[in-house]
Amino acid sequence: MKLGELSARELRDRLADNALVLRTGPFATRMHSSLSQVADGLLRLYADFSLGDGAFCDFHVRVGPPMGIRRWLKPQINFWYDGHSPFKPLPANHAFALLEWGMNWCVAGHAHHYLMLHAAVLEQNGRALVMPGDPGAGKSTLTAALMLSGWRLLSDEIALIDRDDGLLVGLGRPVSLKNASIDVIQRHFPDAVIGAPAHDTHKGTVAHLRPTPDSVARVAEKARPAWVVFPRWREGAEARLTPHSRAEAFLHTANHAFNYSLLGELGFELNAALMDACVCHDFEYSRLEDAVRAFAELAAS
Amino acid sequence: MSSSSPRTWRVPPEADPRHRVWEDEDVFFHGGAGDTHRLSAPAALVLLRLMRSPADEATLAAALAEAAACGSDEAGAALVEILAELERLEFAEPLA
Repeated sequence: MKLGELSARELRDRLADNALVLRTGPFATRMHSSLSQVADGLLRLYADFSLGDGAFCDFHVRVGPPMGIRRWLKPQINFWYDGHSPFKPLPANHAFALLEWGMNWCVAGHAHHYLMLHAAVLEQNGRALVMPGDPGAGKSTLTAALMLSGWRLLSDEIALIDRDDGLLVGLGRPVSLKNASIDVIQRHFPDAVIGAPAHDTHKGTVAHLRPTPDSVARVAEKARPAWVVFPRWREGAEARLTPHSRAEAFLHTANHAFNYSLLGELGFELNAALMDACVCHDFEYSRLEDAVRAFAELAAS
Repeated sequence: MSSSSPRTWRVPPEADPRHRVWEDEDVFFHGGAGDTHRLSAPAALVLLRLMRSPADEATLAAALAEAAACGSDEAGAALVEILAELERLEFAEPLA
């Protein structure tokens, strides 16, 4: 059953009863919340996702107001994982964004049966594009544009590498857009479905982009790594791919991984296998249309 | 490197290094510490030689001189720095 097959009322009831189990790639998350913001966000962005039967859940999460008198004075919300809260409370209107960050935290902090790199992953014709990127480099904007131009999204934030075969595993979850990117994507892709923005977060204004139906439907299909590309948005820059040292790419991805050190030798071997399989590039761009074209040419090469 | 007391070097067993090279750039993983390092080509040459078996400084300098097509004095001077770096990274240690 898909989440979108529930009525708004049914979804709210299930969330309030701690009876909603959402499948995102290999993970099942039991969600508990009585906040309409959470229900509305899920309905808008996760309608194509499957619901789990609840027999086993990887993560049990809750989003709701913290206890105490403060909740009456200044409305806030918090995120709980297995009954404890890893974050400080946030303003109440950040509820959906907090759920998204919390779900990222659940995966990044616990899924150590994968090597987890801080990178976006997309796929075309069976070949995966891995895009690490420093904050502000334009990674999420480019990821959104490529997904909305036909690439299949595996992940916006966390590249999961299967320890058994070195293939990339999809999550298919919404893309986190920040600040000017929100308008940029809406302007270039008027049909894109974007959730309600959360203003004044620690990342500025944040809004999430609904993944394409193809990305969700094929989330279980693993992808073979082919390219590692480091994007960089620069005003006025021509879209251009240039070679990037694989040793440098190895060190960058290792240094920015969620659990490279934790996995020890296995982390080294998995990341090395990724570099063995990939051609590495830097990519500078300013216009999204040119960027999409450059990646279409890369995929066709 | 001291000419009066040439030493034999080895890879400490706990280092258990792993190696990859891409386009002549060498990356090594220290299995004991869990650290990853990119080494220069000469340092990689010396470490790869030590990963095969312990070797004395004369042997290492000769390998370096051959690979770099340089004289033994130049290779010997470079070896001092390389071994110091490998020792600092705990990839190499002198045998007692």
